[in-house]
Amino acid sequence: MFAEIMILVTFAVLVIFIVQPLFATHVEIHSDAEDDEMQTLQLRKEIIFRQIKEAEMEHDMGNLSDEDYKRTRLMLKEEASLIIDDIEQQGKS
Amino acid sequence: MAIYGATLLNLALGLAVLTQIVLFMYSYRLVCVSSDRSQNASSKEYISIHVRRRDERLFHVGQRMALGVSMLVTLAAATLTVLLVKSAFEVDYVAHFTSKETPLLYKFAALWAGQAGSLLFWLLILSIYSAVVIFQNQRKRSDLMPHVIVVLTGVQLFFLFMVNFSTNPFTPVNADFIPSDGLGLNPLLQNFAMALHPPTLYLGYVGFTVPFAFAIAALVVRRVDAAWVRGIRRWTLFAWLWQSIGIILGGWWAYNELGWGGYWAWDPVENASFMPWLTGTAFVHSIIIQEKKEMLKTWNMILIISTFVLCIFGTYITRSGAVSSVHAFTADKFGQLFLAFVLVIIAISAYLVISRRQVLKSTKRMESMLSRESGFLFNNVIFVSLCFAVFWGTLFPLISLKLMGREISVSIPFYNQIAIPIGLLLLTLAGVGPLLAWRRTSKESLIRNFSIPLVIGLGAIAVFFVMGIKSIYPLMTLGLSFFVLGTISMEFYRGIRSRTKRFKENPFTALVAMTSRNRSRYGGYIVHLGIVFMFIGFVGKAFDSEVEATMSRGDHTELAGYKFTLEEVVEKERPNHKALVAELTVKKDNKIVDTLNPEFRIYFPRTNREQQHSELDLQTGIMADIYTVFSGADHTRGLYAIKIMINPLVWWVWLGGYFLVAGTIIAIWPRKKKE
Amino acid sequence: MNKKFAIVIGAIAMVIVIWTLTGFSEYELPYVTVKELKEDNVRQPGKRVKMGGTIVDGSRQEIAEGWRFDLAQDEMSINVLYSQQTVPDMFHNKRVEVIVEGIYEQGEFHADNLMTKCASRYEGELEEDI
Repeated sequence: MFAEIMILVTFAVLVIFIVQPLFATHVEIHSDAEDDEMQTLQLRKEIIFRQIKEAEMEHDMGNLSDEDYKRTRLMLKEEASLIIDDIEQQGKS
Repeated sequence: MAIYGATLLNLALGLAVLTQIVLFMYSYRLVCVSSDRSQNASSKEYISIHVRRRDERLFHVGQRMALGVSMLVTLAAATLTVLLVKSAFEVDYVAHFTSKETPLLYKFAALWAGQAGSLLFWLLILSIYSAVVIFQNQRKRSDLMPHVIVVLTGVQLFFLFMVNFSTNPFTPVNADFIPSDGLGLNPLLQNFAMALHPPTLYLGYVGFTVPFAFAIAALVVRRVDAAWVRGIRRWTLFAWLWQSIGIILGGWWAYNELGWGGYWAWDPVENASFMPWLTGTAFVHSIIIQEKKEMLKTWNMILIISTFVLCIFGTYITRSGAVSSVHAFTADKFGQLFLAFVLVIIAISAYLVISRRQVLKSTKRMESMLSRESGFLFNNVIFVSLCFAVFWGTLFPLISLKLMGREISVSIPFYNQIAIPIGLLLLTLAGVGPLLAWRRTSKESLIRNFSIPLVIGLGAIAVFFVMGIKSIYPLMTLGLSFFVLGTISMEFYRGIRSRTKRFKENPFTALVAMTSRNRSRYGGYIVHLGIVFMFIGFVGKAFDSEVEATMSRGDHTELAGYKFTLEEVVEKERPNHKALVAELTVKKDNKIVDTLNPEFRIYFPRTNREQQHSELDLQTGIMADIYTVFSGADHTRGLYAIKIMINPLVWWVWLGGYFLVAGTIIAIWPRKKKE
Repeated sequence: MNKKFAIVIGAIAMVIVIWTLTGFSEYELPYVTVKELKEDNVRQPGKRVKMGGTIVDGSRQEIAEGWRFDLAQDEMSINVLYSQQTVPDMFHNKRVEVIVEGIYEQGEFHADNLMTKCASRYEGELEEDI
């Protein structure tokens, strides 16, 4: 008998918990696809910036020769500017 | 109570199916709401299939259903634990793995001692992980989450199917009587490390389900960029950490309990945990390239899918009879179900990877052989190839049975002859890789970074050679270990130096600041340091020595400059066993170094289940362990079989383990959010 | 560059794979049955093999070199000489399945490696208490 009651109670709690959102008055709406795109670009930008900082640190430490550092920095900067252009275009549209 | 548990599992299975249906309906817009819903959200009249907007409420319901499955599984596991602790021997599982005198701790541990229980335990961990993933991402990654939940509950569904229909832990005893006592847990397993070993390994095995779920979700929505990789980085490291701990604990248990003096024997169960670790390690490295350089997208997908498949496969190998011989590999139903599941995963994943091959194409190219990218790539290829070798060796009995009609297994030297050189290659890469520049490394940087470590490594080889180590592998391993130690210490030294110069910090603050600013970088170095220590420990294996002697009281034997005397053997009665305890003094140059007490135990004495067990004793040392096993006794005649081993450098393996754990925790530790 | 890279990477993988596939003829250990050993002695002169079975209870005998026991498989059994004194704990159980590795010579199996069925799979038979 005890087991049966436990089963019923568990079941009831579960059903109430699950169907509750169906009766909610306010529902949050998903971000749109464009927003996701924007987020990805922002993330790319952040990652590139971090890499620039990292290269700087490695150069400071003496791991990267001047030649390597200059090249890396230039390339990362180019990449960053491309992404920033993209972000601006996204922002306009 | 058993009925309650069984019903919970039934309910969970049903709910998991419903979750899948609801989330499919949501994702594929089978139930939609009109777009002006926002003005009148509560009204249901707007539901229509013409306007293609997803019904968010459906997603919320789906999320809660998934949480419900987790809740039910947790309750079921709790129920089984209660049954185990209460010694409810009417349940078959309880009667098999506990007895009245089983200590309480091991009654809990019995939850994962047998097949049925450990599958439920797998489910429990996955359920907890799923709940954490759902809570973590309530407002994040809304595009991926529905699919992530579908994958997670999909995996749960399989294991729920298994515990419901194949090996149900709540099955009553298959007899017309209720046993008055259970069989009890195997004494070999009544050991703290052994009690912890399966859960740690499972935390790892199951942990890889999360990155796998995100990978599949990313493939489904065709967004395989840096974002998903970034999101799963910490989960991957978390799973990897537990898997590493599990493997190390397993070795530690074997060394401290089994009495053959080693920690690794390439047996199928060990291999089963090693294979996903290898691909997982490759994945941990290669996601760094994807994050930073947007390369290797396809490769990463393949890696995480294989890691997950190997985790499932590993669970099967450890949990089925297919251990000592794979003869029964596909013969039983249990194995067939696992095989079917693995095939389904592979089929779905392969379809997704192939159909998404356009978005998986990377736009960038490798520029130079001597770059960080290529370092990672070499590391990946080598890890995966080693995994292949282990896989081949483990499954060869099965392969040969199918191809040649004859079951042939391979012996330990096969693994060693492949794993040792490959291990050395990986060790080299661990030293070289992190110091290569991205894209291309100039000659100048190379000389600057490697000349000192190279000198250190070569110097070490010379010193050890003079000290009398003449064999090639130990020499190479030690040389490379010192080379890598050199590169890592230089990294730390230069990092500290640049900070003390720039910010006028003292070296210690500089070390802390630098590590906490670049957690994954320095955490990674500490892990590498741990690996180096482990390799140093592995070298010791080449210099093991042992002696086996039948001794009576007062006899002595000698090994490696030590003199061992059997002073006394005492008989002791303990609650669940009787023991003969030897008193063995260890002398060096006539001075007593230590007294060791290996035991010879008989569990369940004077019953027909009498079981002998040798409890070894050892003295751990930085240079070598003294390891003694009391392997047999003829008490009436006063004759005792004692085995003594000197195992050099084993201590370093465990030390490496601690470094590995510490480094990984540093790398996982969350960064403070910047505003 | 990518092409060159692919070649190098592919070559490394190939070397390891080929090495794996060919590298173990010296380390193979065929599983044999007692029946095969007894009937087919010519084919295995001094070759290392692996064999599984149940130890016949009461046949264990400790000798100077190690242990001697009978291994039963189906209806047949074979005399095994194990050349080590230290045996796994489970070895002494009443009913124990073991796997031995060694060489079959002159009607006797000379084993130098012995494994019992994995401990984590230890499951006994329930018995009614009287």
